[in-house]
Amino acid sequence: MALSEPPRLAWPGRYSDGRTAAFIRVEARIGEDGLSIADEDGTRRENWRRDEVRLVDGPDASGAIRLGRRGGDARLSVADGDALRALELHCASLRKSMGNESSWRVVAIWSGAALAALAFLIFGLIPFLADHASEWVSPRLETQLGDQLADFIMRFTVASEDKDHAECTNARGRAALGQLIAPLEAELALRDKLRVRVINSKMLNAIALPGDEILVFKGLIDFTREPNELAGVLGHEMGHLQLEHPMRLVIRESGTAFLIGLVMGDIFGGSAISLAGTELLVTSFGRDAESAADAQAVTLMREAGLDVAPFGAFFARLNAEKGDGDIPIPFLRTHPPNDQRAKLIQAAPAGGAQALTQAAWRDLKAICDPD
Amino acid sequence: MAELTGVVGTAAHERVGYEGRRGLVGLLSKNYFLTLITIGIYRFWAATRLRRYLWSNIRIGGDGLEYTGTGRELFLGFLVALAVLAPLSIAYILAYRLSLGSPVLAASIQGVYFLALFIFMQVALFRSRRYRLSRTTWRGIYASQTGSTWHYCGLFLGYGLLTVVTLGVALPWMHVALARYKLNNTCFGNRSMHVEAKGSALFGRWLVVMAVIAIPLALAIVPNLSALLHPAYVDIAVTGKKSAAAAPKMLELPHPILLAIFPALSVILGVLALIWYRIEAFRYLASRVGLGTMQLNSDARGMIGVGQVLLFGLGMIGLSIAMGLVFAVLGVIAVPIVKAAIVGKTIAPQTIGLVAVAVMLPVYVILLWVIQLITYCWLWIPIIKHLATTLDITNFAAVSDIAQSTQPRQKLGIADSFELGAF
Repeated sequence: MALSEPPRLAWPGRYSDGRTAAFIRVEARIGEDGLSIADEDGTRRENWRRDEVRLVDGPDASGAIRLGRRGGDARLSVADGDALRALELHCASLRKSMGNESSWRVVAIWSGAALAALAFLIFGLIPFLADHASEWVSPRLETQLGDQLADFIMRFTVASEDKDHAECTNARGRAALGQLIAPLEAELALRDKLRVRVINSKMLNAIALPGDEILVFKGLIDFTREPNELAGVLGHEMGHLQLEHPMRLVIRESGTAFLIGLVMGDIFGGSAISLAGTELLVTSFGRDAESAADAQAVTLMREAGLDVAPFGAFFARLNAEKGDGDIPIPFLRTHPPNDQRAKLIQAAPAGGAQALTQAAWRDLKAICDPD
Repeated sequence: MAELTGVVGTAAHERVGYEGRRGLVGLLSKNYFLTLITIGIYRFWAATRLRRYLWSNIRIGGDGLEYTGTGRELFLGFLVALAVLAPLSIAYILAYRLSLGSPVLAASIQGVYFLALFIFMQVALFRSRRYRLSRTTWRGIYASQTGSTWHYCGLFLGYGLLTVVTLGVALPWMHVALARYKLNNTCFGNRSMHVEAKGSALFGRWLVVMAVIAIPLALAIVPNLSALLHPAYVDIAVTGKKSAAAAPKMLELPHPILLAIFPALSVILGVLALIWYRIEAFRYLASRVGLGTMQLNSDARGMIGVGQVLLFGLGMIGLSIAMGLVFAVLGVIAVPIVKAAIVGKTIAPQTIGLVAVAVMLPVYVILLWVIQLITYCWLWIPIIKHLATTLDITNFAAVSDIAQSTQPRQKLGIADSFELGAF
């Protein structure tokens, strides 16, 4: 049949009235006053207004369609391929909904409630909990968390050929490191015993972890030229610990990630917890926190009677050799920019002692060598 | 108006049909990509579209089922659940962390929370079924589910405990008790389904499943038993920590090959056996369901499901080989370029990383898409089709006696928010 030919307007069909599951054979006809459904003997059963007619299913493989009336349970099945064409011409609302949906107003109200709950959690409760972490997280839990994260970080940063001695434990190197830390630590007030571990990885980085733990990567020790540079970096990480930045970050990130997981359909939030571990590797604690840690480092060094100037020189050299954008790691990343940090630190009064003797410094440099 | 009488369904027997309409791949693809770019929010509309497709393909007496639920309803149910669940979860985390000073309190808070979450899941699954039935119509007549969610939860917990205590032996009784409760509370129009079923009828088949899982495990463990009872292993098993005494290496065991092969075999055979059992159990249960004077009968065969899982497994193996080839080609092309770039310092390391991500992300997205297509087209849909087309209804003429229920219809589908319900 040519498409230009007008479709037939009356077709045989099967009709169920929406009250029982029986059906009868009817003739359906679309006209000006709507879709009329009549028994085969001509008795009219129903008349659906044209704007009430809905396509509820089809066309199926054979071209058959099923029609309904908006909001009603009655159904009319028509096998005639012409029917759909005719209805599309006459019934503008054919493909609209059956009208059994809840209104957008209800959706909007609950969207608002859900968003309010999420906003309260993300901007209110979670930051509050993070800022008061030391009051409700036990030191034991913090240490456990820190150890977990340290394992996780080591797994991803140590080259596979070094896996067997991921941690540098050369006895003389450790002793020298102890000498470097002791005067700085004396000025600190931490909850736990400070632990510093050296990781056998080329990364130019140092990380402060929950549970008063610092990871120093071999790459950083290789890069530093004198003990006070390293002392400054350690002081900076101790500053983060003193100000409880790592625990705050972990709570904030894991709480937020948990909620995002919940929105995306993860009822247990399991995917979020693993995510939080990587945050410490790739995120900076934020501009203000880094500046505060820098200031803390300078204070610690001065109180310990150490010369601060090399710490400033360290940033200047870092900027010259590696540039700002080249280092994808938190401690050294550009919050604030390295040249600014160098200037800030150099503004501190000059003078002070060397943190280690030359012999001890050589030992420390060789901390990753076998005993 | 005259009552509808006379012509009804055909003969005494009516076989359920499955139409297999075109457009499934397009539907699944659209669902997948829209869910991806809306970071998951589209999943409610995706589930609705898939259900509408499945329902309309199942045909009884010449008329397809109709799914009248909407994505908007599911989304609304999700919002309600989120507004309640999110603060509750955070409250739990807070309470748990606060109580860590006292291990007993912490453990009990954790226990209560996970029990609550577990019960919530059962509530959600039961209600999800109620929602789906309340959105299922045939010839304009709605299905529905009655019964008490808490009664169902009680059954679940009671039988669940029994199953755990008996190391899984009691599972058929649990399975049948829950199915019985669900089916006896399933209505079509004003008629309620009734089912007579006993757990003992499935026990033999369940024994097969347990044997299929246990025998390979026993074959792996028993010949190595003397070595596995080495104090170091016992220590690992009991305390979870390595003891000072060095555990024997894998190769020092008397029969390492058994320990390498049979546990994996146990898992593979176990999955096949479980699918087989589920379909066999479906046949048993479905064949005992009556609706008024109508009676269902199923000829579903568990081995069909096993075949389907094997086909699916072949598809996944093929996909893995294809992925291996893609990576090999990428590697052959990329490695020299990257090496040259690193040596010549023409590209910053970050750029290489970015390019790698830019290449890998589409590969990953396409991989997941293909996996989803294979899972539906070669596994779930064929099994659904088999279950539907082997279903037979006796005394189908009585269907015309069924009238619309006068009970109000359920409002929301809260459970569907967390992808707990299957279809």
